[in-house]
Amino acid sequence: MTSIQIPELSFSLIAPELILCTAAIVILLVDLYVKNVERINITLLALIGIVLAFFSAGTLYGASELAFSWLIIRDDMSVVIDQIFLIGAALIVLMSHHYSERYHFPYGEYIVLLLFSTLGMLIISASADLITLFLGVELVSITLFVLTGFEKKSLLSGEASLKYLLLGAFSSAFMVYGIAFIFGMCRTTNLISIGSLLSEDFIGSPLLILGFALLLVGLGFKIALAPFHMWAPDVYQGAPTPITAWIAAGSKLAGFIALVRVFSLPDISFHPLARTWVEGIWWLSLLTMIIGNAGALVQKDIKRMLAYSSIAHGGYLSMAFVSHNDVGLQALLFYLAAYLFMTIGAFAVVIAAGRHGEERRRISDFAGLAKRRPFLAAMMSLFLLSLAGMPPTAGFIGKVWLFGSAIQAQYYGLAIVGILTTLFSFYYYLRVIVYMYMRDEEKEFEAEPLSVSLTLALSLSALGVLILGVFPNTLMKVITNSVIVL
Amino acid sequence: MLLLDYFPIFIMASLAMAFAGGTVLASFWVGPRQDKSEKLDTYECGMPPIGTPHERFNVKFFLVAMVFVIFDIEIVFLFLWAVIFRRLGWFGLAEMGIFLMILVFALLYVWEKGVLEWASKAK
Repeated sequence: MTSIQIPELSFSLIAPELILCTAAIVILLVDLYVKNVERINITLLALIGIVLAFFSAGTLYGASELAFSWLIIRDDMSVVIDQIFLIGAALIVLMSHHYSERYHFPYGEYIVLLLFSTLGMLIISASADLITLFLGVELVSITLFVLTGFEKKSLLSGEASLKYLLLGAFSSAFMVYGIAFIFGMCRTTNLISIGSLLSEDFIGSPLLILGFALLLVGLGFKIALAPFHMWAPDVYQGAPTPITAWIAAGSKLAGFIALVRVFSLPDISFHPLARTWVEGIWWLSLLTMIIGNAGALVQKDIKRMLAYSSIAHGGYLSMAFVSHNDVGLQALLFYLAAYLFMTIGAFAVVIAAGRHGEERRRISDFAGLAKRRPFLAAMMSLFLLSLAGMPPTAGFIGKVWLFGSAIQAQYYGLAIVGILTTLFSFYYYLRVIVYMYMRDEEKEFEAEPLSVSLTLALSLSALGVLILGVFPNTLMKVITNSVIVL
Repeated sequence: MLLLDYFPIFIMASLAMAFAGGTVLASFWVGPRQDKSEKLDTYECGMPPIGTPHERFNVKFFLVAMVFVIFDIEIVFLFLWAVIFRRLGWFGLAEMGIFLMILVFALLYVWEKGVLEWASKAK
């Protein structure tokens, strides 16, 4: 009997994923069998897993390989992205540790689901095949549906979870449909093979364009590009705040990385098909910037405002696909890292401003915060200014780089709209700062004292925003190198 | 040209649709109608209906269904593995061991959470 040729399995290339998965399973078992396990121990276990995964990802720099029968690609870009995801996950774990003290939800399961969603993001960043990509997207989505509804006693949370589930399932259907069309035309789901097929004189048939368009719609839902953004404000408002931050930062990042993997196939920048989707994304980007910023102007709830601001940022970020050059891709990666820090930081302040049983979610609740809690007010100002794009923060460098890429690709109109909407956005970001520093609070409210974990999350995010803003060179260099390898 | 070959099927389909639609419409127009409340009520074997049909199901139905699907899929993988068990050798055994181990963790979780006990201890 002949033995079967077993494809080469290079487990070392997916070490970060394996470590994270193991950590999640260990926490699940500990939570099951150790009676009355302290929450701090679960947090520490999760952090150990994340840190180990972070360093094991670090050892993979320089690898440029396809593994597992071309299902996994391990290039420098995936390593950078993995590390950004893992930093984000660590910040969210720290925030959750503080937040879960207020609401007694099953903390072990919560952390396990959080780690699995991070695992999904790592899978997306390393996927070289539409099937792996879809697997990652689904892992992220399904865990987030559950996490959104974790505040069982809150009606808003349940509503958010249901809406997210229905629209998420809907968008996944779009994605699968698109993948089916692409498979039908190319007879492969492998992105590298599809790329080489397209770069030969493969006539872009309408069905293939339809496939890519459906895929774009599906991913557009996940990253809340207008007109597929309707779910975002409700879900952001209803979800537990650390999860809101994770949806805003992690899941959005993951969606953009999925787009990078699909729409930056090698050697097809000059393919006629590229022009088609560039045109599509041009409109999506324009609409998203306008709708996101216009929506944020009228919000009274800070989580809804940040939701619209996150939609608007999706618009700026998708500009990178329109400019469709190396600079755009580099700017996108840099801005995603910057965006992760400032969004997570802003939501951490929202958590810190509340207390058990009483969240501070209206913008007017932030009146007079500067007098009572100068540290929190300063942090919030830093994150909001970075979101608005003020120097010397990370948001400024990112925006300059992004708009620069659009100008370099001669999309002046889009760049101008981006700059104008950014100016508008100053109004609603500064309004919160004005409330904090220049208004008196309506009635006395004593927030909880800051816990160690939340202080750590806040300071690390602030450090990230400032370091990327003042010394952007380190990350820039890493990103520039990683994109050239691509 | 190719489409022309299918023309008889098209005629057949049109006739079928016309017949089906025609009968329904004819009975709608020609038939006598008596819209009384008993007639418009839910048909339940001639009995007067009791309660609403929208009953709340015990969540355990869904949990058991999900657990069933997971282990059903596991069996599918096991079948394929068993067919070429000898040819895969030790490598296959180890891989399947890891796969089953992960599923056993899931089973332990489900067990400990009390999904397998139908009549649950009320909490």
